[in-house]
Amino acid sequence: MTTRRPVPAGEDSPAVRLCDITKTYDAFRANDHVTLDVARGTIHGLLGENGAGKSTLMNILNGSVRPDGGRIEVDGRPVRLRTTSDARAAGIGMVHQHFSLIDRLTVVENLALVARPSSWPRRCVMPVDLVGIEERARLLADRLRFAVDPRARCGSLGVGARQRVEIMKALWHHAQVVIMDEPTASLSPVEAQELLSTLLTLREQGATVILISHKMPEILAVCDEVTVLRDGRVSRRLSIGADDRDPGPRRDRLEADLVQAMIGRPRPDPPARAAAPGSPRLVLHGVGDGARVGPVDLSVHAGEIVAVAGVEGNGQAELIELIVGVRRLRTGRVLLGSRDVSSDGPRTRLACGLGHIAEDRHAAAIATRMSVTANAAFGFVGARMGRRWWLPARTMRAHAGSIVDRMSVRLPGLGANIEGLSGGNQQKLVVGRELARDPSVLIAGQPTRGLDIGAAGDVHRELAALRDGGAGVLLVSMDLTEVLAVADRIVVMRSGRIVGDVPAADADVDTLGGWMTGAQPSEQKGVQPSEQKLVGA
Amino acid sequence: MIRLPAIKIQQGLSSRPFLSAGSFLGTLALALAAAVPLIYLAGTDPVTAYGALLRGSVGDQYALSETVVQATPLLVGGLAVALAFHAGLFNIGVEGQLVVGGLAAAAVGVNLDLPAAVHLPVAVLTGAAAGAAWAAIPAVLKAWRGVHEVVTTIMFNYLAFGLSRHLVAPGGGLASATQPSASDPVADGARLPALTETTRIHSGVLLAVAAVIAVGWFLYRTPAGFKLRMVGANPTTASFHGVGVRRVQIGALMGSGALAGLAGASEILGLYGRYLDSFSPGYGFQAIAIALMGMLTPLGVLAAAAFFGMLAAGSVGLQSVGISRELINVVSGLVVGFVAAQPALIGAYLRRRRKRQASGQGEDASAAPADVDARSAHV
Amino acid sequence: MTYPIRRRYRRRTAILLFSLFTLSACGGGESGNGTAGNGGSTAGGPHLWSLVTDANGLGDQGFNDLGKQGVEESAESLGGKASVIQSGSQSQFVPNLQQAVASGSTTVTAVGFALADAVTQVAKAHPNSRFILVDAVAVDAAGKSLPNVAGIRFREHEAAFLAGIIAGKTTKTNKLGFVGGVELPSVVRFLTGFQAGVKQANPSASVRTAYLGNFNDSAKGKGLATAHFDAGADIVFEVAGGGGLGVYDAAKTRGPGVWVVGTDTCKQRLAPDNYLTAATKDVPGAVLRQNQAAADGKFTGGEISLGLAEKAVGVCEETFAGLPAEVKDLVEKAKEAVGSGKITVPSTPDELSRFTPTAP
Repeated sequence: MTTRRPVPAGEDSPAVRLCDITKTYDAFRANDHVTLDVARGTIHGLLGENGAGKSTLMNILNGSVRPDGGRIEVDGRPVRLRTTSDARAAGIGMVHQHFSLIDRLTVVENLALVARPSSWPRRCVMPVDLVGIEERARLLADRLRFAVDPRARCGSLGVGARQRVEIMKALWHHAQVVIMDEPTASLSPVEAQELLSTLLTLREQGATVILISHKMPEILAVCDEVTVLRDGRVSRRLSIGADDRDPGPRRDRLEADLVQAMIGRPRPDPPARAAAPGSPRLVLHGVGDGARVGPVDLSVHAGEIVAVAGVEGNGQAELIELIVGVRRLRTGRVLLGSRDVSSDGPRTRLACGLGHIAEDRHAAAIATRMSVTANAAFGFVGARMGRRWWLPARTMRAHAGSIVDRMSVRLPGLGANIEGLSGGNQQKLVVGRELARDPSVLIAGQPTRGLDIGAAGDVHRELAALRDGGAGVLLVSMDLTEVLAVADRIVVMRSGRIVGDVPAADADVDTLGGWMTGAQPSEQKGVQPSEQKLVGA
Repeated sequence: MIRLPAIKIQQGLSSRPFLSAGSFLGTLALALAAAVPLIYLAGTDPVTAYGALLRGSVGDQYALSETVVQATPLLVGGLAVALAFHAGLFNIGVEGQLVVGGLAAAAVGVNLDLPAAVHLPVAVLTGAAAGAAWAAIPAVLKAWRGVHEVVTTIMFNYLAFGLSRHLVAPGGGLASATQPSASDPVADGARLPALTETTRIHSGVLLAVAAVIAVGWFLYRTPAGFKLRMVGANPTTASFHGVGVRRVQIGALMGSGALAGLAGASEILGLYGRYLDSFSPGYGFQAIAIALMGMLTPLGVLAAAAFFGMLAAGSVGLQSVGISRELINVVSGLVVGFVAAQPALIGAYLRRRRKRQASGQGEDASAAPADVDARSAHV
Repeated sequence: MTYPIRRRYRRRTAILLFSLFTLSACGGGESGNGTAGNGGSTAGGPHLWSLVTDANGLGDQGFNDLGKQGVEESAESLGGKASVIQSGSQSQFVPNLQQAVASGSTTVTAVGFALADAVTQVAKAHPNSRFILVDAVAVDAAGKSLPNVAGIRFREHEAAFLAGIIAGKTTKTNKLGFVGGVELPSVVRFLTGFQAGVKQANPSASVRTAYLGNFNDSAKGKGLATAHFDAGADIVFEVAGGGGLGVYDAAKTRGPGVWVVGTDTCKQRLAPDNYLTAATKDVPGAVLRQNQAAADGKFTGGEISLGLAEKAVGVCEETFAGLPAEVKDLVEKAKEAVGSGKITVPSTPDELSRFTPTAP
């Protein structure tokens, strides 16, 4: 149970005031005299493109980055935030996009890590009061209406549950201000909805929330005020009233206004739908890995974007691995065009016209520690580029340069380590590389994850252009808005199998959501949930 | 001892030549400076000590030649470690592979009777092949069973030491009748010829230089080297892009072993002319420090090996001014320590510089109110 | 245009200076010897007595420390300076020897067979310098020993013979143990001499043998010695270098009643209550003897064999006085007999099998 800090001074002073904040990295000005007021007891949306300076600003507020200049006030009192513990002491907590839980420890033990005494002599000698922590964890979970088992190992929890633990960590030291950095990015629609109601609960209980997001619907659904950052400056600031939230022209205008402020131009239109699909480009016959996936029957035709929707962890990642050829195929066959590539490795499949935008960029698409040029050449070197004993440095640079131009990747230089690029720019490079393969089949795993609205629109257009050029695209995404906007056909995956298949024009969120969660009986004939279990086991 | 994450940062540096050269020299300077109090404790002053060190290592032609001789095995061993590191593998087994390479080269040199034109290449290649073979089992275990190469290569070191001791012990297959713990001299045709009359420089030095060029070429100029670095940087990404990760790992560790075997063969065939049980005073272990200090680039390894060669050659000079040779070990230990601390030092430097640039750009930053602590970050 | 020439000129000068320096260093040593030889003994003369250790370095309580004692005693009694260059590894033998030569040493002493190759190489390159090689002989490709290297070989078996007599007379159980390092010829000489001594003094006693396989594993040394004691032996002879320290440990653990026979020097303080005697080699004396010869201008190369006749080997003096008179008497007689050639102590297992004890 959190005991509230007494509210000091004037009730009218904002919960957080960032005043004239400036932060420069090398030549790049991440924050340029940013001033931000966050009123107490509100949900404040912070919008902006990749690299607009949102994360820098929030890291400054969280004490993990030091500004070059500016002032910070909390509850009307100036504070110095040199470390995250300073921020914690000032009542500020942050939930990062990437979780920092230790999988092998239980929820209570993870909480104990933040609950430890702050002075080091005590930290070394004081016993850890796990019972007390568990007690408090239960109370906190009740207050937030969380269903989290404090004794569960964090590794066994789903994404949503882990995020709830992160929120509990952030609130542990009685934070009055909670910063949420793109909290719904990796959540399923249902989990995202639950998160938003958690934010409302927090507000109800008097906390102040700063919500960083790219997603317009959720911003409009919960925020009381919105600040838009663009190129390190505040470009727009407005309040959202109750009538702004209902669908209608008023809401559309507001949304268009915000998008304009974010990207400096109107929202890109979703690409047009496809004409009639052509011959099959990718055919899966009873594909399975003998464990988590299968059997899956699916075909992607020329001139068609097929989206695989589903809650994360239902076999989409494994299905992609089976198609790319890095996971052992136990059953079934994979055909690229008319060629059976079931027994071939990724090398041959890439040569047969497969392209793949990996879902987890850091794990499978790029190699940090190598240059932009090198990263742009993955899958080209040794196949299409260079002879056996000669690495064509010039060709590689030209290749990288053309990708960078095409995707307007912002970067310090081609020779720079790819770590020097922001996440969004890395993603653009990856997308550009896979498009440069000129694939006849493109597997796109969450291709717009981490991209802002403008860049995401560009990627969608590129996918559509590829489709219109006669390629087949398999889009794997958790984001139903994206799926509905881009795909020509939608299949839903649950427990390693396809449980629904519908043309995008006939699809609606409720049916898809039902398939995803299992609330709706599966649409494919002959597939019963009980049967699935048997096959899966 | 040496933590792997440190290497990440250093690899990133290789794209910044001035910074990396600066940090190399800075590391040396710090290590030499840190040894100064110890030199006073040892009863002399740093000018005398470092003067003697320099005289003994680069003071005249003979000293220089000794530096080259001492640096040769370190250079090739350092390349071996670096090659494996580039593939993301930590080959601690260089010492054992070097020993086995020396044994194999000596076995061919002593026991085979071949024409000179064939004998030497066969002996050298057998040494390299033996090193590769010694690395093969750890490599296969790593690639196919996921057994950590650090564990297996350390184990194989002990196997190699035992094998060496056994073969030159009385009754062992290579033991000499006249010289204990050594083999008979290798045939003259299998000797790496000396390059000069008066110094100990032998043609193994040429092999080492060739190895620098070959490794550099391979890593940065061939598709295979590109794939190897890709596997080292991110094996999952590599496998998704058609690189046979297992093959690359096996190849890299065996290539590393081959270089180590070459280092051993060159010592035996070039310097000693017979196998000696304790011919390596831990070249394979020093090679790890050398590879890291050289930031895993062939030229960096060359520079680091030259420095360690200077220390080894200069230790003789140090003793002549009355300092124990242990001080040399202290200095090289300090170098290793500073190499390990390098990422932190460079990080602090970069932050300071960034800060300075930032405050130079924005005059408003310096005029910022004192509420925000705008000092450079703590380490 | 002039600058490169000057640079090249400078480099040539450097090379020239370097060669002059080395030449003068060698020549200096030579002329120093010459005058020393001619003038008999010029006390406090410009002598430099150098020692190059093997890879174990100083502090080994064995060869290297004894060698150091040898050069220091030489400096004391012959004048001049003693200098020790330690080797960290095999790769430093040659440069260290070069350094010793270059600094103008009167003689360069190298201890241990490990240095044989290096001494041969350097001695060939510097025929005017003098080398003393302990425990090995330097030979050229044709197998002829080099004239500027005095290769000192001790007849260890003669010392061990005396130790064997003491042990044979002391044992109560008639069982003796032997812990060797590696089965090298020098170690075997110790063993056979010891066995012959035991046979001479106590024909009914037997010797159990065991080898460590190296010279540094003292834990294994302790294990082997304990096994000997467990099998009923009450005296163990160790010829195992650093590994032998474990033997003293084992004896100390047993307490009084068991004995250790040591090697090379008296190491009584390692196990004062259990120290019987040692088969000693007078390395300092041998070094001093060769240095004396060098100072007198009578240095000769080749193999030099030293034994009881030369009083270069023997048994531990410090414990000798405490032995029973009967044993002391026996040892003195044996010493004489060996010294005069009446008894030839066997140095190989073959010779041992043909050895029959004779009353001295």
